Amino acid sequence: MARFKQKLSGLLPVIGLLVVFAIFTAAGGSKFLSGRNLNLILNQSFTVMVVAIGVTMIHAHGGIDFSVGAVLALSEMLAALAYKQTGAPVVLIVVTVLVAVICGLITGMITVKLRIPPFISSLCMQFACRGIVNTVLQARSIGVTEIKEPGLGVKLPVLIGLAVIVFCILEFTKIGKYNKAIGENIKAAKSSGVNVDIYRIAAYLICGVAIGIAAYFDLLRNGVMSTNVGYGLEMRVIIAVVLGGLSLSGGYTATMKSAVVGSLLIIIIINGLTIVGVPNTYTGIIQGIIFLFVILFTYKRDRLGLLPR
Amino acid sequence: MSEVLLSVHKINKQFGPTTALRDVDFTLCRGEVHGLIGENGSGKSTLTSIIAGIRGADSGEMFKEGNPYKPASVVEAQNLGVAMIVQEMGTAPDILVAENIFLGKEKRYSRFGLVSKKALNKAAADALGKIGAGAIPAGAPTFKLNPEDRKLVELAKAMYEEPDVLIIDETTTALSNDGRKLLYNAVEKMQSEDKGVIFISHDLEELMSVCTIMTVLRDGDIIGTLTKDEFDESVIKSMMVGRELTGNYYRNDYDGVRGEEAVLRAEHLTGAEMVEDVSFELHAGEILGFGGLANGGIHELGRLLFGIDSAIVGSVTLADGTHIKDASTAVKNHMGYVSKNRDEEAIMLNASIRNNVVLPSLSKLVKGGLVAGGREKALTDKAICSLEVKCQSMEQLTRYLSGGNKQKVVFGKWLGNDSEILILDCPTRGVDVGVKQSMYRLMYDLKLSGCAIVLISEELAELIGMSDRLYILKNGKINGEFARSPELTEQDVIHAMI
Repeated sequence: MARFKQKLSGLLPVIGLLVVFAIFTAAGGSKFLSGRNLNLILNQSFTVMVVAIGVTMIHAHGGIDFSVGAVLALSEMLAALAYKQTGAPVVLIVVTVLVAVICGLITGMITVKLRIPPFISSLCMQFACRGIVNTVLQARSIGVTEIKEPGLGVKLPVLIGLAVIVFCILEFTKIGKYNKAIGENIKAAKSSGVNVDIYRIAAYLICGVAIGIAAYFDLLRNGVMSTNVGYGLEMRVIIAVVLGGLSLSGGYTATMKSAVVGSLLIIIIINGLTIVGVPNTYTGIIQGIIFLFVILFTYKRDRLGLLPR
Repeated sequence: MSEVLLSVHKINKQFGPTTALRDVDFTLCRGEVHGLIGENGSGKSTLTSIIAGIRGADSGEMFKEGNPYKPASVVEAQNLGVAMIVQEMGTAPDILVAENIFLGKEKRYSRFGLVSKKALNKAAADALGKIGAGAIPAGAPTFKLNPEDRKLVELAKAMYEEPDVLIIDETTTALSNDGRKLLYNAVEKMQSEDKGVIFISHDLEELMSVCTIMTVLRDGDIIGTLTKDEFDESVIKSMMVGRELTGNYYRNDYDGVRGEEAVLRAEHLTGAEMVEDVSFELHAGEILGFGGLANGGIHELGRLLFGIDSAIVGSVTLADGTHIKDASTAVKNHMGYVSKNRDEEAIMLNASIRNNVVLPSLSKLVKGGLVAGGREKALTDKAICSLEVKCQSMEQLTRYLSGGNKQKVVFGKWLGNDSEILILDCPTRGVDVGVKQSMYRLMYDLKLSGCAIVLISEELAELIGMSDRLYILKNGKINGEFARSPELTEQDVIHAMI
């Protein structure tokens, strides 16, 4: 019985995904199921999903990252500026990844070495990155329209490849296993010989790579870099992974499935609501309510704190 | 026969597929101190938690002083005169001591909806004073207290309500001798007032001296009830285990043989708290005991040796000159550490047995950057088989294991990592006789195979029974060294402790 329950709660996000899909198919009909809309869903999910895949590493050790949206914006802006200078398209991906990884390194170092709770350090990172973007851009925007946006033919393989790689890191390497152990019980991990500082920072670096990749594709999709890029992404990503079944206190509930299924769920909900005619402004409220309920159902009651360390 | 205070009739309780209690009948009379004993998972805590209103029974009835008694909650049980001190920490860490004592009863000290802190603190100081623990500050935040004082706060809380029935579940393990005295005083007071006490402990000697009557449980069944004149250690032990315990509990040899080579050397080791200028050598194939009072520095020493806490002065070095500066270095050099606080520091409760066992050995299992599941499984299988861990499968979460089996998982971690030096801090704390005996055998086998063991314990019998050499720490300093000998008694050792 207990095992059945354990299995069921693991499947719940997938069932939820199917139910939500069925509801919007029924309500939205051909509009929701149209090739154009499905294409849109995949494109919209791409950024959330790529970032969610990376952030799963941080959630595994019980961390949290509120800076992903701002870091995405900063890396896009610097990449766009660098591209304007050099004119070489390859600069874009190099700069986005590099900037995001450096930001991850800084957040990780601050969190781990200065022992500052990750939600504080990542909030600081968010303010810093947003501040730089706003200062440099003012009200301007930078266009990168010369390069054609890669289609799903490129994006899907990138997405699947990244998911497989991070899946392997999470399940079959010391980085993944140690991060989950740290999230489960940091004292036990330490006394089992795990160098908890280094492995937590490693999680931030991996997350940085993912944000960099997301930034590259997001920039090309928009064709233009403006100050509202990545706005609200961090909350959407957190809602996504939690909807996917990941516990914010970290540990062995951190799986690739939660990132992938959760991202699809949240985007389909947002997209579906728009299709059936719910005004755009309401979706924020609905996301907040969903978040609250999922937290209520998933967070481990036997733990003292709801927020990660 | 005196008047029946509380009786339990045909109580049944299932946890999933496990039967925790089967048709259990139990009677507590006035003036009794009724001991409950049994291996881990035998149903002692389940029975008492039903009596205390923590959980309900699946079937069966209870009567208190002849009236049907069916508490729906702890508070209801308390109002009906039944209080319990639980095995786990029963105090909330983030509120004041006084608030813990009167949790849920603040109304008595409030006016116009505002709780008077002064009145509350005064009443709490009074409650603490009543049990002789007046030294604990009622106005302090609870997390500032050590585990022992927090237990005493629970005792004060239970006693302040003047219950008819006091249930003490495995509380003495957290207490030092002084704390125990306070607890025994409370028990005596209950007895003299013709009330009833239910006392759970793994310490058979303690139960035999404290209790007036004892009931043995095994696998959810009552095996038998003994009156004081029937108390006999070997009879009770065989009732608990269900078979005769043969041979010596500890080990039979007294030659204290050890290897030539010193594998670990502590020099002038001084920690931030308690440990002061401790120097010794640990040899291969040696069990080196460390004893002393709970606050004498023995536990801190264990943490220093393994590099969890760092030394202010002095060093811990291995035979090859490696300096143990943190736990990672220790594990890399095949050291292992069994913490006194198993659930908080040694085990991941929400992780499977497999994930727990392989954690220190992952570096060894990696091939081409990846950890193969097959190698993990083989390692875990070996640990489960050799230690006889009772579990459904290696994927079972450790939180569903009994205390003794959890401890076996912790040992499994270090056996899997081929540990050559083991720091064991109270390794048999809160485990039952059967598991205890197998742990002693394991330690002895490890010694024979050349493993060096530091055995830290608050149980003198265990230290004298197992150690090749025994050091006693007092106020953080070595205050006595004893060689293994059949003549060594607890009396000799206690002198060095106090």
